[in-house]
Amino acid sequence: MASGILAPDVDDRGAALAARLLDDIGSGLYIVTLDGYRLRFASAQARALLNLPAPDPRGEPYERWAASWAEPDRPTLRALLDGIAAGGKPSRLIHQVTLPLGIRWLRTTLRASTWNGRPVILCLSTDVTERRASEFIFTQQETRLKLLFSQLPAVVWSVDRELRFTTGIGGGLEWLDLSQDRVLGSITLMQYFRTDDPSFPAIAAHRRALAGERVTYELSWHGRTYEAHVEPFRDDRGDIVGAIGVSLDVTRRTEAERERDRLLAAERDARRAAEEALRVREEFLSIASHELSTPLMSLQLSVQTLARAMRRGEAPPQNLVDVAEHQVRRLGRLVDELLSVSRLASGRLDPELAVLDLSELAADVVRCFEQDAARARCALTFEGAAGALVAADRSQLEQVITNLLANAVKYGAGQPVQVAVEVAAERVELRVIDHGIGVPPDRREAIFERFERAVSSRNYGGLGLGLYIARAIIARHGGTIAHRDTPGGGATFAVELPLGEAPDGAAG
Amino acid sequence: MSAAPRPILVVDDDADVREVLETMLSIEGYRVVLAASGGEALHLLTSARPALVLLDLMMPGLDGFDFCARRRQMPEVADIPIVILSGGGDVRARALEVGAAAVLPKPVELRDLLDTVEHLAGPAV
Repeated sequence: MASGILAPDVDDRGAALAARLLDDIGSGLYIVTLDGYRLRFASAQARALLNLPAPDPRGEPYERWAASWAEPDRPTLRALLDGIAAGGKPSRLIHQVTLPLGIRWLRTTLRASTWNGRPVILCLSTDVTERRASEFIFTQQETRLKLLFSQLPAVVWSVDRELRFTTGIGGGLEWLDLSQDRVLGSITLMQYFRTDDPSFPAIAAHRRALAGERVTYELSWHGRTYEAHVEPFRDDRGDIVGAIGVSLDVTRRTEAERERDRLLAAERDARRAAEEALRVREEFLSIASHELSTPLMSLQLSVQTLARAMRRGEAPPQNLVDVAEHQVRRLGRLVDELLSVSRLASGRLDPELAVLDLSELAADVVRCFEQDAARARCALTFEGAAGALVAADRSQLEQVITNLLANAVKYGAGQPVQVAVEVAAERVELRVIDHGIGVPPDRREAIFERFERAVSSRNYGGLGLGLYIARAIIARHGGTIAHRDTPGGGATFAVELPLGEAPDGAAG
Repeated sequence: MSAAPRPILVVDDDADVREVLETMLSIEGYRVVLAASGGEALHLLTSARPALVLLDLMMPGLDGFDFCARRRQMPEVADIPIVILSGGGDVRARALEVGAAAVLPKPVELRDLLDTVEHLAGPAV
């Protein structure tokens, strides 16, 4: 049943001859009986490999000759011997033995045979320590390389002159829905990218590489971004036989770059907003200083001219008295505006509510404004309604109506200005109607913002705060303020407030 | 000083300022012409040949600086002195650069204003 280098039946002469031949190639032959696995024969090389110094080890028991085997390998040896003794197939194992020179790796083959007609087990051992060491290192390196490439977030490939893949390795293959099997020698770049377009970045880059160039390009594919580099692939004579490429998944980096760009843009916007806020502030200060200094100059020169005339005993010019009064009102309004804005900014504009008649209040404000309206050549008319009760802060509502009237005579100079109060089911409406330049459609929301106005500040004076303050005050009264077009041209500002209760139920 | 008294040109978009300056200068015996904008004032420079211009800087349309720049291109009126009434900010350097004879910051004292006018335009008749 056994076959191999030895005849099925060995005798002393045959064994000695075989042993000599085997000694020459460094292998050791030994034979054990089935009766306790005692040594029946051992070549010189076998004695060396089993660490048996006696020239004739015949009869050595298993415990002695197997003692050189490494401890963990001994149960395997025993099991194999038992298996073969029971009629099993030949076996081979790689194992370690401890020799005076150190630990060696042996490859031992065990097979059943007969010795002078009696069943024995032939054991053939070869020292494979050197080979195994280099194999081990090679295997280890290969394993590491495989692991490295399989985890490398990259693809390395080569193509032939027809752009057919000839190599493809790297963990990146998986993301590209590619495998070694699919890549190698089977498909072309054109098939893979499903395009024949010669300007497609990857294809164009490989064509340039085939022409001798080194090309770097970026590719977005399967939702990821790759940075790729291809170069000509030359044979040992220097001829270009294809192209080799490497690509790195830079999706994360690209995302990080996008995120960085986004943050930079946000910061730029914030800086721009801050600069704009600063610019608006500086413009406001410049306007405020002009707006305050102009009436102040008129007031000062009027008063000084009047005083000078009186000192000289001349008749004081009456018009300068009017001018002076007008300047005082102008300055008072400017100061009110600045105070209101400052209170708004610090959240101290809570109205002190008391039930009052909006018609009466509006009539008072209109009366105070008659002189200013006349100076602006505006015919000022008022139409009240009975029972226009609102729960309101008197001085704040006065300011709203004043601001609206000041705008009306400023932007509607020379044209009539009407003030009307109406009572509807649950609300009271006050309208200030002018026939001036009106508000361009694109400015209708902005005019209620701070420092905004319908037209350039250089054309019309004022701090640009009137409507901003008016809206803030009206909102705190639970009302609304809105712009409407005046039929025939001009602006109408309508204030709506909730209808108040009769005075006996008034809130304090 | 001059045989035919030339007027003072007051340029300001604020009607109150124009009214005060006109009244005040008239009382002192000056003839006054008024302009509400830089454009109007440019016309009056040649038609009225004022002895002096009292000029506001912040005005709609052609502002004070624009007015000065345009006047420089008109050699026939280049000798007319300009007094700038400035409402704030540091404009003195720029005002003198565009050819202003003097800068008076608002609010201006009556005495300073009259002294400057008399110095540049001569006493009223």
